[in-house]
Amino acid sequence: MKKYFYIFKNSLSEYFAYRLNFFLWRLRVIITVLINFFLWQAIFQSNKNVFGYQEPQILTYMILITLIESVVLSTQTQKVAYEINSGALSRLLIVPINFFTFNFIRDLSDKTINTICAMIEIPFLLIILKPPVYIQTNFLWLILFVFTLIFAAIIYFEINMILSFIGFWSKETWAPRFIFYILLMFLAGNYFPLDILPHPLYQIFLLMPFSYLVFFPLKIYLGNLTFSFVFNGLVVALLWIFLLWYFMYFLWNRGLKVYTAEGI
Amino acid sequence: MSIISVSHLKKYYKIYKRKPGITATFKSLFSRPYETVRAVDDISFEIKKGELVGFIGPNGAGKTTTLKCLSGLLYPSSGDIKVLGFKPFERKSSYLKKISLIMGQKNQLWWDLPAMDTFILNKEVYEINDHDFKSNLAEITHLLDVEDLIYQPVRQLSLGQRMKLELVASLIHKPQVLFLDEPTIGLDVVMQKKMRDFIAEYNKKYKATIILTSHYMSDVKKLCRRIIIINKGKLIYDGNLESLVEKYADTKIITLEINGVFDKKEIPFMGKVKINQEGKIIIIAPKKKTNYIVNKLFRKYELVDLNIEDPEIDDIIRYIFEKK
Repeated sequence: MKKYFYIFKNSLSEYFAYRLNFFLWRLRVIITVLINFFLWQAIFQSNKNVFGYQEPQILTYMILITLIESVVLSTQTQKVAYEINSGALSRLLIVPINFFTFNFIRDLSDKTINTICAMIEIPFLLIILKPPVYIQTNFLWLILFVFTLIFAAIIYFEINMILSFIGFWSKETWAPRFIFYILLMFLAGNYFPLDILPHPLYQIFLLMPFSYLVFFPLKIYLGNLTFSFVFNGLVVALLWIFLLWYFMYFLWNRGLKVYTAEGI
Repeated sequence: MSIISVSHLKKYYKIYKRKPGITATFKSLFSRPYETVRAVDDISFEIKKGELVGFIGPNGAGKTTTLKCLSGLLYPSSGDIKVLGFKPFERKSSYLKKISLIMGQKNQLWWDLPAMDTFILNKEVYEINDHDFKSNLAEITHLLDVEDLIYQPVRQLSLGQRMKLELVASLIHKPQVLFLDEPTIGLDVVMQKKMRDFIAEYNKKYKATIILTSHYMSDVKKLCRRIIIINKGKLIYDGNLESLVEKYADTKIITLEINGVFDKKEIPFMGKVKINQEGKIIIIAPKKKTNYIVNKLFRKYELVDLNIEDPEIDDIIRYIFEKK
């Protein structure tokens, strides 16, 4: 559909209207990665094996977070809350465009541009830091990695939409989102692989959607997993995708009925 | 055949009220008294194809809320709406392709991009073929005199320029039904006239059905034969402008110039009397007494000039609102 191509193109062009914003966002991603990277490097100086991980594995994990930040965690859906509260949502409701497709395409433009940057940054980081890295050569794991990235992007999209839909009922959408970001940092595996946690806790985390945003895809990339781990993970991720999808639509339909189109 | 039919439409909002001050702010953390606002309260009307109807009412009367319900943005609390045979709130693509909602303060245009980018997107969204797109665009941009502006980023444009381009974006698909909310807001006098002419032309040329709200009575006087007056969510009047004057104007305005001194007390039942800057005497006379007063005036004074008029529509409408 041509219209979606133009939405993609317009979103991209709009992105470049604020170049400084964009560069600062990339800088933030790199700084986060560097901090984690040096922290783990320091830990590995005295140990060969930490929590069952080799140095190359962990460092690869940390560097690949740059990619995850781009493919999975970059989004514009937080705008939706603002659009609901300011009435700007109306401009989408009045034209024959599917609201969710529009937002997904808008996100896609965001992800594309960030992924291109990550592809440039990762080799750059590798050249400068010269870390021992783990390169996955098994095709199966790489394909699975791509799939889990797509799953992760969908889950993240749904959660963000749901958080934005709070805007239908309250002006205060920032607080829940803030809590979500904090949860995300610890539960998704941004700072450390989740399987270094005590076993019962780790099992609980695996049942939550967050672990499928960062930890699960990266774990797949590193490979060497049992069939049951991968299978269970995919099933739980898919379940969350459907559950969140249903909930997202439910809130959307409910929200539209109380939408006031204020301010316009 | 009615294109638009609204029956017993109601739209209630819940809003919460808070007094100013810190204590009130803290209190509002624990209890929030809600109040129901009856933005639209049982309104019914029918509009036929090709009609151009003016919605009039003071701020907060429910005009915009009605338009939002008609265009499918708001879910009615109760009542039925049918536009072109569709239920607006379902927002079917085939419905949205036939209508347009233009709001003075709404921006459909992508803020950081030239308006042309929005137009091209709309071309695809509304599935307009190349030929129609080109001719529609040329026609509308020419009429509104904005050919030079379409390649500039929207954020660099003035309010009036943006308003015109919003209109282009909303009309590029030649909608059959048009909801115009304050289309002339923020425009200069020349542009207001152009916009008015454009709306009239669009209505005639495409047999489009148009509902228009405006604060400027001149918009409505110029464009609409039929008006619907709303106040506090209720429909007060639905009919043509002339009958409104007949129905509600219970005064006539007599303007006269005389040789000599005018004494108000000489004629009874005269109503209000003012003398304007040019020395003309203006009498706001009760309608039924007009003949009597004019007769008396002829007998008592040497008249240089005499003029009898209906009051301005603005005044009649103000009178209606103040009375209710």
